[in-house]
Amino acid sequence: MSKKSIRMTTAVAALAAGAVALSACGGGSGSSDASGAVEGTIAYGFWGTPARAEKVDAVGDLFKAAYPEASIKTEVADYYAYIERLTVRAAGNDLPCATGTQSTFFAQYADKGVLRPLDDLIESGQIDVSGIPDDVLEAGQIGGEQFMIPTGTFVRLLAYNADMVAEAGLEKPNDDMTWEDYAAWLEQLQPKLPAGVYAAENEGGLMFTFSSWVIGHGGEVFTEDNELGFDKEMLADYLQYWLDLADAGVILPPSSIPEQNGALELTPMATGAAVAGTRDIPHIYITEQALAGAGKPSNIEQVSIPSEDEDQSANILGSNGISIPESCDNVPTAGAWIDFFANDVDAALAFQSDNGILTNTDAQDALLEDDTTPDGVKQNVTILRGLTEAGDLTTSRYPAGLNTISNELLRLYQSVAFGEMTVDAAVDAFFASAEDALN
Amino acid sequence: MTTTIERPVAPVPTAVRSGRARRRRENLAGYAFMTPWLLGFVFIIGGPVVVSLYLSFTDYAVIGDAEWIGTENYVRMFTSDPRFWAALRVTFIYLLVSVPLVQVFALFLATVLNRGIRALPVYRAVFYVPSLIGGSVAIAILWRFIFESDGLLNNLLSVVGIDTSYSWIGTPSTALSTLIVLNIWQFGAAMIIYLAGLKNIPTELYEAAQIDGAGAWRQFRSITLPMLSPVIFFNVLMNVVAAFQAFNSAYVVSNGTGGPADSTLFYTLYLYQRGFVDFDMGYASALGWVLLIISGAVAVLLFTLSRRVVYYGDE
Repeated sequence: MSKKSIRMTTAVAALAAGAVALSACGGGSGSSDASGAVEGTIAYGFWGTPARAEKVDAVGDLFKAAYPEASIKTEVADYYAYIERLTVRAAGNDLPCATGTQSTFFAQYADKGVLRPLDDLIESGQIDVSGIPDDVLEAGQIGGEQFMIPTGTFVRLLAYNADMVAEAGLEKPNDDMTWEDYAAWLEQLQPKLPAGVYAAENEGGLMFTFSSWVIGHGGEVFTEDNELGFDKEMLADYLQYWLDLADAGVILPPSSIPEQNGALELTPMATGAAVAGTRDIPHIYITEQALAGAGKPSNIEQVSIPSEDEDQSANILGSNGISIPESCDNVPTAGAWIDFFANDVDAALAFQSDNGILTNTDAQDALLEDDTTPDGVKQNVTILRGLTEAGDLTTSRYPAGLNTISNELLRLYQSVAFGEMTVDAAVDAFFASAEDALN
Repeated sequence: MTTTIERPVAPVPTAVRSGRARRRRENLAGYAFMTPWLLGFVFIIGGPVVVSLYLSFTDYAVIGDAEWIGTENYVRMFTSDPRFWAALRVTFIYLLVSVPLVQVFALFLATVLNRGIRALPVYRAVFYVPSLIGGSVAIAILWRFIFESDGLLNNLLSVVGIDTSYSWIGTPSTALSTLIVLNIWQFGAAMIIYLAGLKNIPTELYEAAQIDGAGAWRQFRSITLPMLSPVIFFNVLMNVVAAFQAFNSAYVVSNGTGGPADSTLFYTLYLYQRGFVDFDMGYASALGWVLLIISGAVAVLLFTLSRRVVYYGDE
């Protein structure tokens, strides 16, 4: 062998050895098998603010105390950045062992085999779901398999500024309204409001409001086969409903939609520019705080979202949770972390329902009884419990492509509202885009 | 009988051998220093460019395998995607309006500053600052606050008796204009380059023109513009390229939607939506290649035109 080829062989061998060494470093010491010891370090990726990250770190410290051989490394990002990164990391088999997921987007990962079914961990008792109500647990299932353990939940309701309604001398809305009742109430309210204040926000382009509309009309938004579950007439009626309200001047004009879709504290309801609008439960307290901070009437109350059938709730429940990817090499520790996060009472008190209302009913009790729990959290838990006890909740499937479909609805509603498209053309365009996205 | 006379091989002079060795060592050192750039080019630019060309002929949803579909993405783009045409229209309006206006503002102020006014460095810095920060997300957020219904602009209008709650960014007919204004506001970089160009024009030309009785406008038209034409061409080219790449302002002002009603849907924003919101990365790659071809064609057009209108002193 010549000197040159010896050098080349040595270099290749060195590179190969380095690569092997590096891959050994990244491999971890855990197991992709569910059975095994809870040990080693796993990553937990989630979205949120630095304040949320501090709370998760506090839960991580408690976990470390409970499982001295194991630890959690947290990875946090802003919601939209998190979603983007999630897909890219999933493509590279690089998802953290405990991956924060949501009922609105986990399906696309589960459908493509990125997430691991958790049923064996539940059956073996490694993840205890007995404290989570069944209808909440269902939000993490696809085809009967559990891909996400819901750890925080949110429900969309119709919120309104009770102080402003009282000042206008009008009756409050109620839980049994139809959409026509709601429109009539807005039309009564509008003339009694100060100039520049609208009876409601403009929700003609909001997918979640449209979902409530469909469910409240007895339909389903998406079928189990990932197809649209409603017909064109349903969407046309919805668009026309909001166009009529805008023409009547009782909702914010379409030009206000960009402001309405910005930061929660700057939305028209939170600045006193609108009296009513749909909100997730945790948003209600934030809206009150924003109004109070600006010295404006701030008592926000909530009722059920209008429904055409009094037996059919249109209050859609969504969940944030934790999943384990197929690529995870330390399933026992990931399972233990989910179980701890979902069930441990001390963890619940440390996390304070920072990302949706905790799903475990014991944790909810602990939050209500603890003196240090913020008022807003107690309020959220109380509202959710009332809805749960009344059975006034519903769930919806969220297939892959939901983002595309949501953006299309907003775009097409605006096109119609600004006179650039007819309702029928918008409906046809929506169906074409949605079917493309779902396929 | 033949006799072969063997000629001795002339020995390579030692000086030549050591010269070659030195050159080889220097070349090796050169390549060693270039290695970081070469690696960056191959893995960060060249590799992804080649891969994106392949992906543009596939159906690729990021997760899972890419499925070869031939030219389907390109056919779909040109025949059944109205948003592609909307994005092109918005981008060209933005380019055709903002690029000339930036040149006019920049050249006008450069000409004024070139008259030897006092505190020139201060003015230069003040006008240049927006170019440094104008493309940032923070300024785009500020832009929202200026142009929304209860924003700064409407508050200023109310001071002069015009009470309006008109949302400049929420109305399709004016949303793009706010982004054009934002781009024009960043004329400082072009202005600095024009100022440098103006300084290089020989003053004798102006003196001779004055003796011949040429007025200020005539001097500007017949001396300044031709002598400055290479600089103008450079600035136009750079601004055109930047206009094709515009993204931040539209993303922030429209919350990433390109709305209202696609009125701020820059081409790059649409590409981003298809790639990172819809996760239709094959289609996004095709969009990228079409943008490359379009911007390349525009650059070729500009260079062709430049042969007629740009004056280089050595011609």
